[in-house]
Amino acid sequence: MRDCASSRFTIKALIKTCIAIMGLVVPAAAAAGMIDALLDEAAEAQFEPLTGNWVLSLPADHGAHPSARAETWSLAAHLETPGGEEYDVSWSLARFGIVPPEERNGRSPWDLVELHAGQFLLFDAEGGAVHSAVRFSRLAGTAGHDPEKREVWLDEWSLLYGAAGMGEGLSVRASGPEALVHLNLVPEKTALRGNEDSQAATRGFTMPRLSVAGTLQTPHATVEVTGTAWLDRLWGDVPPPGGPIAYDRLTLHLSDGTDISVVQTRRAGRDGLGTFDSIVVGPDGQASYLGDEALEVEILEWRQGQTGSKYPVSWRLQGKDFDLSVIAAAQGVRQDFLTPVWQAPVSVNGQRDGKSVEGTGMLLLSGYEQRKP
Amino acid sequence: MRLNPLGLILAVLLAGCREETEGSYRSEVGSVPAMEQRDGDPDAGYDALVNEPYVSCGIPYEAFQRIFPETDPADRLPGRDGLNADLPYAFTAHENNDGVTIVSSNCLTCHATRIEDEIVIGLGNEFADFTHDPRRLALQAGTYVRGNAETQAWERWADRVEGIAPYIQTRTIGVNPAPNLTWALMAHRDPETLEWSNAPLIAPPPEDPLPISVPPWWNMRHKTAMFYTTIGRGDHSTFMLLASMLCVDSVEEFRAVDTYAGDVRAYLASLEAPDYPFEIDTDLARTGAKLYSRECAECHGEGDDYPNRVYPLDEIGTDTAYARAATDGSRDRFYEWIARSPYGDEQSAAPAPGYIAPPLDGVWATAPYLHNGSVPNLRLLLRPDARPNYWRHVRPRIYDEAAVGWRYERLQAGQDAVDDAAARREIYDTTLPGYGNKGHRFGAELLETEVKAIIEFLKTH
Repeated sequence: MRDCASSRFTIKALIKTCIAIMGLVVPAAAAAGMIDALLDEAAEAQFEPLTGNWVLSLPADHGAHPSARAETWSLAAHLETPGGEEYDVSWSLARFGIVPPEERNGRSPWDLVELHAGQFLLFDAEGGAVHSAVRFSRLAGTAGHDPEKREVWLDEWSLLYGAAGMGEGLSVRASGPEALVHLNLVPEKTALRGNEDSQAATRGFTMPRLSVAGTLQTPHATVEVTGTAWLDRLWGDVPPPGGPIAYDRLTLHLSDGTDISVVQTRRAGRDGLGTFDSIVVGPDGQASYLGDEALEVEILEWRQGQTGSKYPVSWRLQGKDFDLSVIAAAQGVRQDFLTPVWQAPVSVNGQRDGKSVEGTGMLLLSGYEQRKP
Repeated sequence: MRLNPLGLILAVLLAGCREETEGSYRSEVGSVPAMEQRDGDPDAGYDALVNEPYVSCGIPYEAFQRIFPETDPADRLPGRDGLNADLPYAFTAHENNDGVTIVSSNCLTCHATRIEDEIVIGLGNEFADFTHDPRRLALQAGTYVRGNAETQAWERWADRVEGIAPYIQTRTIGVNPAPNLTWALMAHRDPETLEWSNAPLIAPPPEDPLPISVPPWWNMRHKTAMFYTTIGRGDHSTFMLLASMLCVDSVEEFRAVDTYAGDVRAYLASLEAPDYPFEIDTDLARTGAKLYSRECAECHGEGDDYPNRVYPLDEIGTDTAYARAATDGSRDRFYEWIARSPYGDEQSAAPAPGYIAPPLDGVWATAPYLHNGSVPNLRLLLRPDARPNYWRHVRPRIYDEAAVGWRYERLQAGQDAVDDAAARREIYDTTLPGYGNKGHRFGAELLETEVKAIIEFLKTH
């Protein structure tokens, strides 16, 4: 495994990322009017913080960590058919512990001991229409982790890992009402892990570039797809969604093999400083952390959504050896959950190490509703 | 009190028309007269210092625990109550009116330092890092804030951090931005009601703070005015309360804190410098005592005889930026704010255009030296031509018994030559405005043996 140049910051960036994503993956519960109470219950659950040194273990760490209070899996994939049509997939899973595993003996299988939530978004080749689906479940037979089968599942969605020949890769099956994807993902770069620090109650890793091969099935056809994906994993003392902080997340895959993650942390719903935590992973897998001073961000375009909120949909990113323009390729999707989130695939072009590059990515925005100075 | 006579007349004539008193808040260089100070109970003062919530906004405890999950046992202080007993010395907890437990930074953030396993209260923290944007910590803490009561408590603190953040980021780790912090807070508060405004009510100070080294509290017992330019005149107890301005939002809150301000001052005045912890060459120190009397005592005092004198900039020769900014009129709106506020009157903020020669009690512990912390050790203070233009502390810090100060590394280039932000922040670059290391050339003519002897004597001081 490779440490980031400043791996301590890697885990912070991961935490921020996953908090944002967790805001995205609780829609069904919100619709059911239950989520506030359930998440409060989760927040009150007496899970022991993770302590002691840890070593990233793959592929096992693709699987669940039941002793952790919460965990997330989040995948952004950028796909292309043999005919050149482009699709983008965002798939997220989250698990919130309600009752610690050691306190579950003797309980009814129907007791609520864990919440599982997930979201699937497929941005189609036209860059506008979206197929979306959410899942929300309790543990009892409808969601969970089978360490023997090496499978994490939520209803018919599944994540498989550790089979013969898969190495550190994984296989994902997810679907919406009119779309089903089955993707096999193989990491092209070593995972970036969080700091192996006894103080770290939150742990995880990022796979900044995985090659993707699989199928996309729609009512009209089943097509082969290939592409590139980004995977974030986090488990431990992850705060539940909500609160006064908002996050923006941008992941980029450049044509020269570079991958970039940018997380902006801001106060929700108001102007003020945003801090940036960024990771640049070179074609050779060497990662470096960029703090605020090493990255200049300029918003090139704000776009008004259907509800009147304005979103920064085009960014210019300037660092020591790159100058990139990013624009949301699709109209974008706003999900009005506990934490309203706007999401869209992006295209990117510019310069990296003096050479022209282009690429794809995903932009996720939160906290732009009811902004005040 | 050495108020400019013309300013004094104007102040009297224009009472009630204070916006026209610009230029009155000054003292002359030279002797600083004593002002009557409040009595207080030192023991009660210590208790208040380490337990009372004089900084009443901060991070909700639940979030604080996520950021600072464990307390180093050596960071615990005796005499602390309840939750405070388990918190690091620089933090104080209290429950606000909404039932939210808040953890706030206290005075010891800047005014205490751990040397090995001992917390030395009153020793300025010369390793504190004010180079980062504090909004980053506020945002980090906000990540873990949940529920309306916690969110409101966090927002109260975050609003203030947002207001002051642009004005308190130093160029170098170790120096302190306290004056600019105070001015920035005043810019956001009504002086009469103390109500906070997210938008500045008067022009804030310049964004690049002039650096200072935190003076040791144990010198309070000798001094008739506070701070390098002797700006703090009048009732020191009340003037000190400017340190609690971050969260005092009403006169009522001010008065609540003011009830124990006299006790706190009495505690500070009771502090004595720590003993030098290493071996001392007593023969050499005796030689040094005579040299000190001849070369240093006139300005810095000897025993309990401390002259309390401010010296003009052209005589002391040290970096002029801080004293000039204090007396060129560019800060007068803040002195007027004090005069209109419960924190003082027209006589409270009256800097002189120079620097006071401080008492040298425990000077061995207070490196780096000069008002801006630009000289790494005592030897270099007395050897002005050998001072480095660019330097940084050796980490982990190691005490240099020969030179008296923390070991440093001389560098060939300043901050401009370094791309890496973290490495840049470590560099003390004396070419930056306000960071200059010139002046105080009073040891330049001394023999090397004489310098060594004076340094040895100062270990006993």
